Amino acid sequence: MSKAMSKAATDSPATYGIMAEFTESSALIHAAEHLRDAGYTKVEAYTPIPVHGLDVAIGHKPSRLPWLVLAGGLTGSSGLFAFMTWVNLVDYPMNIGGRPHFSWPAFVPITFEGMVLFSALAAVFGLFLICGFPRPYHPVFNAPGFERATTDGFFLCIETSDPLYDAAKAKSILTGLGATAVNEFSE
Amino acid sequence: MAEQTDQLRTTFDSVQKRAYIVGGAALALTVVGIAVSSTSQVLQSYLFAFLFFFGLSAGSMFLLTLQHITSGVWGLIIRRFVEAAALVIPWMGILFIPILLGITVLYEWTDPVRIAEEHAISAKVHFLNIPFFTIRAVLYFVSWGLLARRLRSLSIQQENAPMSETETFRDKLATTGGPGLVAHVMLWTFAATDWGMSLEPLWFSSMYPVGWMIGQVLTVFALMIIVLWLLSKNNLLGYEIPVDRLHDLGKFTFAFTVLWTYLNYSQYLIIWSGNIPEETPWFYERTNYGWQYLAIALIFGHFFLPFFLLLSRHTKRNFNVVARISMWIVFIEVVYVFWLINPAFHKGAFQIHWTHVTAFIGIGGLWLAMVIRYLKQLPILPPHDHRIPELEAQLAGHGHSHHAPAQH
Repeated sequence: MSKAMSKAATDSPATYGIMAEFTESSALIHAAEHLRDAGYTKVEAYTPIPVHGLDVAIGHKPSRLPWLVLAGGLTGSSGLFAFMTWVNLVDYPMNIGGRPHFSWPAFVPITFEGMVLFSALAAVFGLFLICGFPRPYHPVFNAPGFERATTDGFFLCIETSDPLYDAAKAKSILTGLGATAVNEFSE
Repeated sequence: MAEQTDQLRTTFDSVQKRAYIVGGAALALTVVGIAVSSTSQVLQSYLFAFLFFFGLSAGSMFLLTLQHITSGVWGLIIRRFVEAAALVIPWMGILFIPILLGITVLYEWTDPVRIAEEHAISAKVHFLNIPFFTIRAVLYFVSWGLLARRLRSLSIQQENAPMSETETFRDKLATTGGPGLVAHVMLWTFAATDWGMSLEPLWFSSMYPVGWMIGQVLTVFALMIIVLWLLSKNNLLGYEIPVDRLHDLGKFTFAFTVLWTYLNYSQYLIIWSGNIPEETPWFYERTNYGWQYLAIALIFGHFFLPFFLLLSRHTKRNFNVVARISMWIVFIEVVYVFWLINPAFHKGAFQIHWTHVTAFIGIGGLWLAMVIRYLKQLPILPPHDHRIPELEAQLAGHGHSHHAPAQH
């Protein structure tokens, strides 16, 4: 019995959200602003090109990525400076051209490069972390016509986890905002 | 939004009048220094002040030619200001006359005794001699003057031509701006070698002109932020600066802070690594005897402080904050030029004289008054520039937060 029920559950998966398609980025921004002002919080946009101002229109909070990059940069620069200091003062002190062991001017290029390397790595892997990569499956690809998000379609999705989620109401709002297609889709 | 408001004209008039009076009085006071102190002290102070304010015009020339070829809206909003400052260069040629008159007091390589005893100086006499130095200086001012006037005359023609010809003028300005930028960099390389580096004729560094040049460009970016902030705060601009364009200027200021550090540090590192007697004395003089405090102040004040403050997007997009950071950058650049020039005359002990201050205010006052003279002639936002529609679109898009005007 319970086996049959769980089979039934996999046969008809839960609804993930409602996807609206727009033909213009300006219409998308307008719609996103409207939803944000109406109090929707679980809204995500998918566009083929970067759309300036979309992050604000959709009500996204500032990204945490800059802080990760700053932390990476500070770790890299101070870590490598400390490493060179340790090597030259403690681990293997050498007389190089009669200069002091702690010849900090010579350490600066590597300190700088360490900052660049570690901040770049923090940016790439921090982005992976924040975006939840790697993720081989995502429900939005179930939305009809979603493949146009990589060519000329501008998409806005309200997820069912939004407290205000109501399929009929959302559909009428989105159509009123100029969406060319509005479809519910499953997980 | 093109015409200058009456209020702006009145402000320009009153600031210009005050700048002439204060500048003239301060220069007169500096001349009194000849009697009270010494001619050489007055000339040293004058050279420092001259090179700082010449640097503002030189940095403006760099940005004027650059924005004509790169064509961003950030260039549109600073175009008239850098144009006016670049036009002052020929007048700086007149202010250069006291330096020519005092050349034997300022430049060691003019001294026959030094030429006789130093082979390295006598080997340079074909380049470093008074007639050739003078001819070169005239050549620099004439070339810069012609370039500035050529770009200005195109500007005036553009004002009088209809908007439909805007792309023709964009191309003409770019065609002059491109070679003009190359010419500017070469002229400054020679001028910096003549006026600054040859104060210590035994020393040489090909990095010296470029490190200084980037400091000038950085300072002009900072100055532009301050000027736009002052005008917009007092409702004198006639339009609002879109916050994204302010962000552009802030990003440039940040990038040139890093570039300044990169160039000046590279010079230091190469000379420190090479550790040979022809090259090290210049830095030795500037990192000992009290001058090291300025060097340390430059490391922290010209790099670390603006670097960390401008790292954040929030500071670059906040007009009040970025204007205050810019004021600091202009101040620390004054310290930088002082540190470049004055140790040449005072090896072995830190020195500053009251004529440094009066000469600075004097030349600064006259420089500002001359810049305003040119600013008053044309609208401060060129109405027929090809970037005007783009700026108007950004200003019209007030509803979207990314096009919002910069807030105070």
